[in-house]
Amino acid sequence: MKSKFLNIVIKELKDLLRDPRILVMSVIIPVIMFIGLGAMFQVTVKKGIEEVRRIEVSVVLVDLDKGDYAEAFKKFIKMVNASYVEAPSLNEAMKIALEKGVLSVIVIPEGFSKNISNMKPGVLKIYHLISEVSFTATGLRGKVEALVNRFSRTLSQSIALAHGITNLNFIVKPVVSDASIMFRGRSIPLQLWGSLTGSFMATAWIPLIVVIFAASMAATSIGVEKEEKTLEVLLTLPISRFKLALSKFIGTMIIAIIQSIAYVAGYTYYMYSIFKSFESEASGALFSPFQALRWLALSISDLALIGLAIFLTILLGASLGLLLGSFGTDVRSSTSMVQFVAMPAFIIGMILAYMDLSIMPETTRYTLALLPFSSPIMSIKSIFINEPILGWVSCLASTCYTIVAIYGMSRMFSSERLLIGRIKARRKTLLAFRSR
Amino acid sequence: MYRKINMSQLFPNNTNIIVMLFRGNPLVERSIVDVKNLIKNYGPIKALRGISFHIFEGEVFGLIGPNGAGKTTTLRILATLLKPDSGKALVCGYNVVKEADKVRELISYLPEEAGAYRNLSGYEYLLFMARFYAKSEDEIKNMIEEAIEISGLGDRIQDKVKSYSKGMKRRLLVARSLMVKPKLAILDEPTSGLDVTHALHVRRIIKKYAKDYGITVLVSSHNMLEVEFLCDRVALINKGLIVAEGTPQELKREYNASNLEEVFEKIAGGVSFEV
Repeated sequence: MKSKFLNIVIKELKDLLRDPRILVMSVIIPVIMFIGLGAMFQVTVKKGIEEVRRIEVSVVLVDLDKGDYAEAFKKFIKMVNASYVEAPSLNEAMKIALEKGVLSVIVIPEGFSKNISNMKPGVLKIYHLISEVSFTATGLRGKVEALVNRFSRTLSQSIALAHGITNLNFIVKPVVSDASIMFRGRSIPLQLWGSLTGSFMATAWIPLIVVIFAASMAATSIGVEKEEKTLEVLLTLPISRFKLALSKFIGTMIIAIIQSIAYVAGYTYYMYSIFKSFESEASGALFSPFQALRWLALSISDLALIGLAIFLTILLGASLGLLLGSFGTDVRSSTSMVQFVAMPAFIIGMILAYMDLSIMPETTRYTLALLPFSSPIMSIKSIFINEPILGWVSCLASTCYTIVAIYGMSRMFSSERLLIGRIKARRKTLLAFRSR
Repeated sequence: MYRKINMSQLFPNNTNIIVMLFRGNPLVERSIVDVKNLIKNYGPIKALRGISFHIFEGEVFGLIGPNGAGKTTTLRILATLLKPDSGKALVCGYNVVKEADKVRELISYLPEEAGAYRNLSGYEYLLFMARFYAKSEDEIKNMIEEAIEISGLGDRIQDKVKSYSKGMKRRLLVARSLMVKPKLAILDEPTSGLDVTHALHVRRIIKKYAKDYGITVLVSSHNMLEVEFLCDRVALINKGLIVAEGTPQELKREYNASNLEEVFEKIAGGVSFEV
């Protein structure tokens, strides 16, 4: 025999999971949004790169200089397997470009060769025509710029050789920096640090999104009971109101946790897709959260802190959602109450994500840690600034808020206000009850 | 059969006991519901202005009255959903406010505008409800079998509730409230939304359950035909007060009326009933 408590939890899960609205929010959104986007990204980027590689550079050239270096540039274009069509003027060049579908026009202005001969930079004017905003178009523009840069470099080498300089690279950059970040005694290359923390902080945003979903799901669950008029019967069943509230809460929590897993998995796949797309182009510029974790070499206690912070925040979201949703009279009014959770969660998240905690006085840091919904970001930041106690304080505050919310929820479930709805709607609703 | 018993042993709570004589023998009737001086205000609106009544074991008791008379409020107080401002309401001797948990084990409430979980099948809904009352899997099975019989839903019981018509949903809910064989069934307009055939079926079932299983039933209705068919006794309620009480026959005789509607008209001075 299943206990009455378990009976309600199972009913909640069945009812919620079969609700198309919940299904869309918890499964379809993460799948479509992240996995779909990731796959799309991978396909477009890969195709784009292949396309850019495949297509030869083709330009329309306007030679107003007619000098030696202009000739040298034309020869260079042919040597690198690119092609050009000449036009007498810029206007003509534009027409030809449009006719032939060429995307770039290069003008060699008068005095180009003279300038170079006099050791002054020769300017090549490039006009890119926009036909489409796409990865391929951007790639092709880059290819034209690269062509000019290669020519410039070849020229530098010739000039340097003429002056007896063989090691041009050294002359251009005799001093290079090799910066790295020291994190907990480990050195991490500087160029990796930015993307590492970036990917990691982005992961902290996911719990905030899930919190809002958890809250709105909890509110929907109670709103549906009111709208479908099932609440009255539920409240007369032989089960204590506290258990009733708790079982609803647990049902919502289970789905919120499934949702978090779906989101984190989706997000990881998304990041991995981006990483895979650029793998051959620029190695190691982007990280999935798991790769970031490996690089940062976080301890078990750090991971426990982050995990707990995320869990407690979802718990708080769900309990507040259930509490606030109880004041509504139907699904719409119940879910609209969730804005009271969503807004502060986002504002606090935004403030904390971009705030420099290390330069703040201790009291401010701890005050911020006490804010509701601060724990996911606070726990991550507290690890970075090597003050994990801040994260634990934030978790403790979250626990206190959750206990208060659950207490409020159980009070609400035992009062007749749950049936009557929010205070404002009270009179209207009661008149409706009374008229029966 | 009635017999003489040590009343203090049988009714340890402050249950009302009415002792009457029946063919010269002492007749002991146990009251299941005792309502005394119940007052409930919604802000300035006086919903109940001190109503009192008793319902005896196995009795079908009807609460009838026009819109806003206080029928649903009374039923909701007895179903532990609302708290009275003053007065007392007992179910089997248990106070509906202070001992609400105990009361909930004895009652089964059917609200007038009740719904069932849309995404569950009729069967799953009954199973969910049965688990609150049954003590064994066998009992659950029996409850559900009876409920399917009462509802007359047949194979449709396996379909999702969202595919049910209003009448089918109502039959499922009536079945739900009777299958658990409560001590007290509180039914607010049990046949609302049902066609003539199904309404008749439901009325017969209610009467049968009250008789066969000794279930006490409190019904609120505006259908006079229904009330006369179903109820052993009725209370007419108007503006938060009970204006008359008795068997339908007694009331009709007393007020020299041909039906209960006329009785009410004579008492309340032409207040029209909801139709």
